[in-house]
Amino acid sequence: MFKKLSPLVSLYVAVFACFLASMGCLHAQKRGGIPLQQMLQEADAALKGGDYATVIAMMTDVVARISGGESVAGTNIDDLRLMLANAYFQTQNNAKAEEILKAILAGSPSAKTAEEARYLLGLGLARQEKFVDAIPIFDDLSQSSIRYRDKALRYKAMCAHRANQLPVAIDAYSKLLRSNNRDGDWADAALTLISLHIENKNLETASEGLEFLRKNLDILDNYVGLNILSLQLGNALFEQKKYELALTAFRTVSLREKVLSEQETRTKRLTEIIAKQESIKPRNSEIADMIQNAKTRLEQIKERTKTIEEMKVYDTYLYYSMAVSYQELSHLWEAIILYTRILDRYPTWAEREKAHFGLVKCYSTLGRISKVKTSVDAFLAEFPNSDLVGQAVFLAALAVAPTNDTATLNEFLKIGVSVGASSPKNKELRQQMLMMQANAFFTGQKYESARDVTASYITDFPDGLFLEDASYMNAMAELVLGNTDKVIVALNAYNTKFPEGRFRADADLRLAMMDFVRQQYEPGLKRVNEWLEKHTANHTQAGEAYSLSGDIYAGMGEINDAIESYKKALEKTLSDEQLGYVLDEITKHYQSLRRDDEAAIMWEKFANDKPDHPFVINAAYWIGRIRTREGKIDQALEKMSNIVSRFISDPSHEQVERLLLQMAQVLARPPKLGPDRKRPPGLSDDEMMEKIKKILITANVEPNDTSEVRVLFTAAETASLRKKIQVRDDIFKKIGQKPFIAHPPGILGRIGDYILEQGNLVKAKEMYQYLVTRYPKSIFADFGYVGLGEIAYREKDFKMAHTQFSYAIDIAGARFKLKEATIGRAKSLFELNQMVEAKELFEQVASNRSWRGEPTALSLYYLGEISAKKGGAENLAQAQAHFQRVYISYKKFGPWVAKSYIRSAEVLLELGKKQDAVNTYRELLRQDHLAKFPENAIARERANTLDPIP
Amino acid sequence: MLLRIIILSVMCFSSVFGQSYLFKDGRVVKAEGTKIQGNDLIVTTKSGESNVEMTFPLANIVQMDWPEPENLIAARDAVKEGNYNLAIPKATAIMKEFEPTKKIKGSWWEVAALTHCQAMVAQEHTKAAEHVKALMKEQDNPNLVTQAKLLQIELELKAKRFKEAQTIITEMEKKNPSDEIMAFLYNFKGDIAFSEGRFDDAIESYLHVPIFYGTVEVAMPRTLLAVARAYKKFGDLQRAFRSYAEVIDKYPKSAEAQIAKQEKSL
Repeated sequence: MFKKLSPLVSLYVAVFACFLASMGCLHAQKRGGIPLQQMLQEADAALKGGDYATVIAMMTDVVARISGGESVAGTNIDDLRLMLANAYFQTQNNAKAEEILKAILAGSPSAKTAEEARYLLGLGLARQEKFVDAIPIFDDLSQSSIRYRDKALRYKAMCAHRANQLPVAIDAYSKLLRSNNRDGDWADAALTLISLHIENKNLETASEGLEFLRKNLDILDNYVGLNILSLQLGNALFEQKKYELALTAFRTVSLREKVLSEQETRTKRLTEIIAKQESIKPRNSEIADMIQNAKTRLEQIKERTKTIEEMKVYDTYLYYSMAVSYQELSHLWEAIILYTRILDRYPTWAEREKAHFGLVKCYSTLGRISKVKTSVDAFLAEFPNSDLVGQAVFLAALAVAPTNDTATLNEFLKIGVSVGASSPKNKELRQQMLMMQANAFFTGQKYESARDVTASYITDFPDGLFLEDASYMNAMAELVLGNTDKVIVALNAYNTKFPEGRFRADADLRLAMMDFVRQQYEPGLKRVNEWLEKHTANHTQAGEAYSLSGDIYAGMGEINDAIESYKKALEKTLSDEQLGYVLDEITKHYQSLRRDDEAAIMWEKFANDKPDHPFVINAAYWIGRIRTREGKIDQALEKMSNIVSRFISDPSHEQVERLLLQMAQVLARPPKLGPDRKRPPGLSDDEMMEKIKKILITANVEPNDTSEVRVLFTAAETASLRKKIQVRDDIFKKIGQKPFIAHPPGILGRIGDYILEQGNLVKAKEMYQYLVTRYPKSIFADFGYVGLGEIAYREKDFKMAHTQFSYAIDIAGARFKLKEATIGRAKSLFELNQMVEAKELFEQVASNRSWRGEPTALSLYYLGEISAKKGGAENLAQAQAHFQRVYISYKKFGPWVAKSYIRSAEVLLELGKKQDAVNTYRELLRQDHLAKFPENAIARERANTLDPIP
Repeated sequence: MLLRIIILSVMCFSSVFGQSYLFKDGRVVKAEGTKIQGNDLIVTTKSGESNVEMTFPLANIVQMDWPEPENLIAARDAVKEGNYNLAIPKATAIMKEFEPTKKIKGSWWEVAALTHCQAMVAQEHTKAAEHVKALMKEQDNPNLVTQAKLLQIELELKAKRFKEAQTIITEMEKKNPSDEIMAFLYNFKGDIAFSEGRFDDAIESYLHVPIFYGTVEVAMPRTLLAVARAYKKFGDLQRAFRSYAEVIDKYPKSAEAQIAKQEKSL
């Protein structure tokens, strides 16, 4: 702790007085009547009382008298001058204090006196803002005096800061802070040092300093200063893109309420300390200085506190800075939390739209689509005209684009396009949004919309960034829509505007295709040949060009040339779809020329060359079919077996089922007639099963549940084709007992149907659900959805039924179950009382010739019911006509015929045609094949009631 | 005050230097060794060349100032490292030792009791609930009760009684808790969301801790591990691995870091 200057002086005086008293001898000299020692006593008393003016008067006189030759034993003139200088210092007469102190130091003062004099001199100079002069004084003192080291370092640093000698100031503060005297002054010095480091861009050092200070908060008066510095540091680090460190700084900043509350406690404490210090008398220069420092600090604190009090956006600014820092570091979840907090808690912040934008951006980047939607909605609701909306929606659209949520994508794009339309700033953005919209429409098969949007782009942006893409997409949209003339115009326009365009090769090929479509074969062939000459043999579309060439030749009836072109296409790169097309065309043409063997050889080569290609199953199918037709049954089976056995244990290879059905057809063929023209008996069921096992489970197969299921399935299909229904059903039962995971999707669907037929809804539902969950993209997924729809319908959950039937079509593509799905939808809509939609579907079913039969009868019946529900004579008559058509034209379908008779009679009755109704009932009763239906008993009862038989 | 030299065969404090006691009358007595006999504290001090024993009623002591016992330090470290079998007996021993002084400010009984309970809860000891309940009865020590409530929430979560846990959380939130408490509460809310399969909500809850309560170091290892798991479940593997790496790098000796090392490689 600090030793006091004035007590030392006082001690001298006191000791001297005692000495003199004990000795009983004074060497006092009188001048002006007052003895020096008395004057010294009075000066001491004045000093203790804080009466510095008196001290000055007294000591000036004393010093003058001693300088004039008088003496007081036991006193040292330098010490007396020091006392005088101190008094001047206390009264802020720094120039006079300086003069006296310099005079002392010019002499030969004692080490202690010199020390004190230097300290006082430095302070005096600093007070007079002679900072450059004060620096060496304090520097010297800090090195020579243990007692004054810390103070000297502090003042050296302060003077150096004021003199703009930052490195000197930093060095001094750094040395000071290494001391262990950690008090309010120390903490203040630490803050100042940190501030200097920030000013000097030593941000990492500043960061370390703040971290350290936070661990010593109890000695810190200037809490508000600490927080402001932390904020400044954070900003400085952010500007240097040191986001991790910026966050560290921001995270140490307290919220406004806490800052003010903590500061209030500290301010009160500091005020009390000042008051306490001020009450100490006498006050030496150190205490005076301490008080001055504390008061200065207090003023600064009050000023800073006022700043924070007035800064209502302090918290939001902090949170926003943190959010952006997190975002830059890709810590998007953290950024989201902060943006959300700003939006939730600070409704009046002027820059809320930035937080909205940040939120949309983060959610979009993370791909959290549902949150993207809600955040965009919230942004639009609050700031529909913001300049940032366009960008936000664009980002949202980018996030949604890869998902299947085309509805949301289109919604965003619509907003984005319309927002962009109004703002010139967003012109480029609007172009991007338009193209994105066009792409979305095109991908979503909304070709008319794609065409319209691209046309709009071409008009609005004749020099646009994406003009080429828009022009070509416009042509392609017309192509898909089948507007041949418009395609040609658009393609020619494209070629004119972009002769070396990216899509030129494709455009030329498309024009050749248009010639083919319009059956202009010669010009088409010419175009294709020109194309083939112009482009290299390795061109990615060479295969397509040869395929088109084949089509043209085929159109011209030149089948051999067509085949040759197709074969050339096979040598080039083709997409799977094109490959399949070409292979099928070659096969078809070979067959038309009765060159089946060549077709089979082609497929065999394909299977050899590309054993892992998905079409190898197709190869097996054709080979099997052709060789079977050639009577080479065993060869066919062997070829099919060689291929299928490679995939038989893998349930994900869906095409295997197609091949197994083909094999079943081969296996089910009756044996050839013997030489005696008699047909030998076919294989027994067990023998057939063994044969199938032998064919399918070859040496290279690792049997598992899936291979077993497939063997059983083939056996079941074979039994079915051999009209052994019971055998089939028994095998299906066995298959049904195998774990679902072993079932390929096609078999899952088929067995599910069987189990449903048997009435086991629970198990069937499990199978269907497994199918659609495990194999959502399977071509057999519609089995699952239709099955689930059927079950829901039976359970009278018509809404769910409608949903499932719709999924079968909309999601699974209804490759196999379109009829069932359409009928199921129609019936569900009927039950949900959505008659308009139901009618439309029933009419669709009834008019579909390929479905002619029971579906037609069913549909007509329901159309009758729909008409009947409407009521009124005309509708009832229409209903009756529908019912009548069923029982007249579809007699085969007993259940519907029976129902139709009853309903027809009921409707006739409603129309007041009682006798016709009776006749209708009696007509039903005459149909023997309808006797087993419950409607028979109903008809009998009603007929007897209406027209009792006597 | 009696000056006595007594040969004692009572329970002794370990001889620790640097102890001091503040009495109701304002006196401060520094001691080199102390013992408890019944309701009295026997303090040994030096007087010239010899040691002098002084006896003080415990009831007159207002505050005691002890350096933290080594066994307690070891117990707390053991809890951080997941070594609960080591922590429990050490903490129990300290509790016993400081039991007579448990009501005196500065007694290590509170910390020992908490450490003991924490270890038991973490270990899912059968008597954990009983000990937590006992702590919650210390109504004249609000801090201890608050900490006990946190442990109670942990017990509820382990037993999957999420509603009960949420009730305590909500009640605690209303009392304007400290940053440390809030950090733990957000962790617990995250745990509830995680258990209910709401992984995005869990992530957001956990992340409140480093964002708003980043200075609560004691909560960080748990938070980082929990958020890593939540990211993983949500499907954000990149962020999951980053969080695993953070807990391993920043808190290498913690139990959570060891778990993170295993889970990260799965």
